[in-house]
Amino acid sequence: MTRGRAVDTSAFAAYSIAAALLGRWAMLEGSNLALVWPAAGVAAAWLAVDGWSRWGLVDLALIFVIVAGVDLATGAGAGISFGMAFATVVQTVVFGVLIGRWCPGWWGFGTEPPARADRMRDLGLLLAAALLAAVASAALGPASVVSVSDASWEQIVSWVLGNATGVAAIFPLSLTARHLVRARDPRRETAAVGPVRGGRVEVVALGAVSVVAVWLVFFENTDVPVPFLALTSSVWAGSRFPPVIAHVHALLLAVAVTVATVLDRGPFAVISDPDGRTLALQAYVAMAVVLTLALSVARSEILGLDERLRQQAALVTTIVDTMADGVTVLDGNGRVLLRNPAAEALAEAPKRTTDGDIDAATYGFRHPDGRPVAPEETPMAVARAGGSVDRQDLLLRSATAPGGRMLEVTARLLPDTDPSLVVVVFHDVTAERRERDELASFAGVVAHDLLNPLTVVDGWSEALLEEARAGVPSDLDTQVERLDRIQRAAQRMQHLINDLLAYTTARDRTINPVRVDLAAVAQDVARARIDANRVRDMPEPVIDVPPDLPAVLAEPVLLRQVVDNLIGNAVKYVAPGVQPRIEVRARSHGSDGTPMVEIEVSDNGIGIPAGQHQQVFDSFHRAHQDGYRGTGLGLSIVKRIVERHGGTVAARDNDGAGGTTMSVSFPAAD
Amino acid sequence: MLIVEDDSDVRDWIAHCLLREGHELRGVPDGARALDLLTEPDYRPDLVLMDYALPDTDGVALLEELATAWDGVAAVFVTVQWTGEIIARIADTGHERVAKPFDADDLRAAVRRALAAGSGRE
Repeated sequence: MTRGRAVDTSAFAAYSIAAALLGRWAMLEGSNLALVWPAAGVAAAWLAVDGWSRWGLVDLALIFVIVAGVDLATGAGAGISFGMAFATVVQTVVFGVLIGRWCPGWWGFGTEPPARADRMRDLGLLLAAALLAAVASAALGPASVVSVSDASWEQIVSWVLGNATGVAAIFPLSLTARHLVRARDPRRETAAVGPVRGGRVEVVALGAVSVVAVWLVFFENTDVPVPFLALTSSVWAGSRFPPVIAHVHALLLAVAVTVATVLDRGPFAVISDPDGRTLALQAYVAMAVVLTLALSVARSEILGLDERLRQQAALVTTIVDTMADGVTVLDGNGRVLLRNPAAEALAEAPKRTTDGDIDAATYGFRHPDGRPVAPEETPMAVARAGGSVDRQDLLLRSATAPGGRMLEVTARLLPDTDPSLVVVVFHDVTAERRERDELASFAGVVAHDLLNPLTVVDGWSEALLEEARAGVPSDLDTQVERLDRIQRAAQRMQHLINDLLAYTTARDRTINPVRVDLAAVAQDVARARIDANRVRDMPEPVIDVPPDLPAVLAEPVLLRQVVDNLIGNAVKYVAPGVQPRIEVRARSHGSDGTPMVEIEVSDNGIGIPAGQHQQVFDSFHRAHQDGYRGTGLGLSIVKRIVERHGGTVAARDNDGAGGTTMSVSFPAAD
Repeated sequence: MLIVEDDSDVRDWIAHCLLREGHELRGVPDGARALDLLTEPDYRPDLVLMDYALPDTDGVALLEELATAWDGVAAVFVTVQWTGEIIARIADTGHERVAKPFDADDLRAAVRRALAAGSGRE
């Protein structure tokens, strides 16, 4: 046997002897039954620790010996003593079977903390198990009494009430007490007792008022039958304190009332029949215990639910507040009850007219094609009318997004709420839809721009083949011209593919900005362009690049691409036969804290048609369709690269020479 | 016969295919210049052959405008076979469609069918 078990067993044995002695003491002259029988509860608690193990059998044997021994030692006959002991064992076993099945946390928990009676369900099961166990043993206990003396129905009811109350009052409290003694950790003690709202002062006040009330009602008063007045303190204990304290209160009240009655004091002392007096007292004690426990357990359950509700509300609030989708809850009148930060950001303080109405011109839902949404068509209105809206695309215009944000809206009427509530969820798909549209148009343009030269290659090579097969070839000049067309078409495809790759690179390439000598890059690009035109017998461009251009912070490959595209355009888009004259200029300026270098490339070219100075930076936009080959990607590549470096792009007419000035900015290196 | 195609190399190839059939051809690069031809009192082509994707408009819209003056004119659309939406839009007009890249024979056949249907309408 371990030391812990030895301590447990001797403590429970001592506790049982004390409880049995108290029971034997609390007997009225002329009655064979105890007023209270706490030994029943002690036995149940003792066995509950071990449950159905071989140690449990030892516990039962000891219980039998103790009860019989105490009865014999206090003058009971052998028949009654063994009968009572056997009845106690039977009651303990029946209670154990029932409570072990209904509330496993209370049975065979060993060194774990026992369950707490803080739910009404558990309390109801505890009372039911105690009552059924007492009824089962009543067949044996009173029978043994009946065998030696006259017995009455009052005695049987008394037995049942006394023993059931003994179990209900003693069993859970003994387990908690054992746990508190074993666990010296104050936190576990607090957990075992539960929260006390009024603090120690209220505990002391409850004790004082209870003592005075019991003293007045049960010790001072013997004439007026008002025992129920003392129950006011039970109501206080039950409705304001956790089950453990309420339980102790009920127990102390029971002890006080029993002592008063044994000493022939209090309202029960006036009942002359000892069995009647016993029954009245036991009914009173049972009432006090059940009342106090029920109130306290109900309070504890409500507090527990309240806490769980609070935690759940906090969880839901956190989820709703941190989600990227907007959530709005409205009541039946359209009043907003809840709006999470994402929805706040979307709704963004609508402008109101002087009447307080939302200004529909600047704010409100529209269909994706721009048609206004009628008031009865809004997702909120549809849901309020009982319909459901599932992932409907709607455009929401607001002060911050005059062009509108595309939202995927889902709205539902919450069933069974009063007042009726509508939940609306907004998923911002603006970027997604724009990307989808861009991708579709991108693919369309790529297909178009690749299939045109492919048609040319396919067509002219077919013509050449047909003639060759038929043995009637065209003259040499015609053949050369056709082959030339085929080659040009192949080159166009190659340019487009190169530009598409550059476009992707401009988007995806990791940027590790380093100090780049802008003048060196521009001069290098300029030399390459001059050489290219010289080789093709085209007018050699004059490109002016001052040697003292400020250095920039940029990804060298991408910066070169920008400068090459700008100078390349300036060389290409000139009127036929005109010699391109290009000036590259750059200056530092420190607007908005970050010093930037503004690079300008000015030309004497054909310029950009009015109204297209912004659009030239869009993918596949070509300002000049006739006579100038291009993929329409060059400037959008420039824009992407510059913006990824934190700079801006702009195009304006070059007033001096009639061409264009393109300007881009990069972070300054110095 | 009028060819509306922004890509001059493609336009030349179409012209090459159809010249052998003995048609008289005019070519323009965009919708605006095609509409300019409406002001020429004596000009009325038997057939308009146009790219669907033009720099300033789309082929179906252009045809609607041209047909206001050239009522019942035959048409052939040359397209990049792209979306079902565009294909359906062209199909709704009841005119011929040729997908790029195309064979010379396919183009000629489509033109012949269009001319036959056009004369049938008249």
